Amino acid sequence: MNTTPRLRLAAESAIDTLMREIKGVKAVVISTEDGLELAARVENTAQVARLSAIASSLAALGAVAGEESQLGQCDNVAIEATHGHILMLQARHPEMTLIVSVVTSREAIIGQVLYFAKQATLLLQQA
Amino acid sequence: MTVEHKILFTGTMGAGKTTAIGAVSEIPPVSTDVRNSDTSVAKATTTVGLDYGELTLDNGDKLRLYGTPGQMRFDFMWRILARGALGVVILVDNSRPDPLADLDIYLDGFAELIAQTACVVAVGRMEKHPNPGLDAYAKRMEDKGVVCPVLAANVTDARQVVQLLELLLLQLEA
Repeated sequence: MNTTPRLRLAAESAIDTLMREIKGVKAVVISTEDGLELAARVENTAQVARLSAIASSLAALGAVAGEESQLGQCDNVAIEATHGHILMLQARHPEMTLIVSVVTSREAIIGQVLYFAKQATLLLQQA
Repeated sequence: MTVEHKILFTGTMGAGKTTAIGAVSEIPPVSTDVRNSDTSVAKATTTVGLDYGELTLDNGDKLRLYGTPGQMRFDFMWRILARGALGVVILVDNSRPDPLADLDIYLDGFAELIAQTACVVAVGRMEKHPNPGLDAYAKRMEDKGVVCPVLAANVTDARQVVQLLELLLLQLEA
């Protein structure tokens, strides 16, 4: 994977922010749109590669769903599970499109997660 | 009554899954290709979700064609896509360093589906890369206890893709 140090630093910085700001955050993974990990902070590192690939597939399927429904491009995919939430956002950086995945417990407030994740994604896109 | 069958195309990245479905689909294929950032493979894009196309056979049967992502990191999609499939076409790229090992990955990854349904192995780029030959593929499958046809195919040619699908369906009728 060819990425500039600047983009990697920006990804690390986005992860720092999300880990700090979101109550109940369990993992943040930033990966390429074809499912390769760029940066991550997670309780169990074994999940990182898996989550990167899953986020890639879900983002691509979300994109198809948006296009087929004539709703435009897919900006994020949200999953509400029994024990928490997963939010996956597209960061369209000029160098490459990235996917920011945020995994939280139930104690996280989804609106707050979305707000901070969108802010971090915006900064990442402009890095 | 129209009979519908779900058929999978799988195989390594670059083996031609998206191309095969695009060659025969009657509808604009659904594609989830994104930019490839794996520098070990010289390919601009790669499928990360699924490919989808449809084909109606001369007898009126409708085939729903699904392509899987090739890379093992997407094996969770293999399991999802295998549900309810009537058979699988494994595409192998003979120009790769160890195409027999590639075949093993998909024979293992879809072992349950292959045991219960049907499988066809299509080897591509044999004109410029004749080795390993088809006999080596047959032997490899025999060693694993898999019985299915193996043939050379160029999946850019719609007729050859249809031939693969007919061969797959023939096995189910047998």
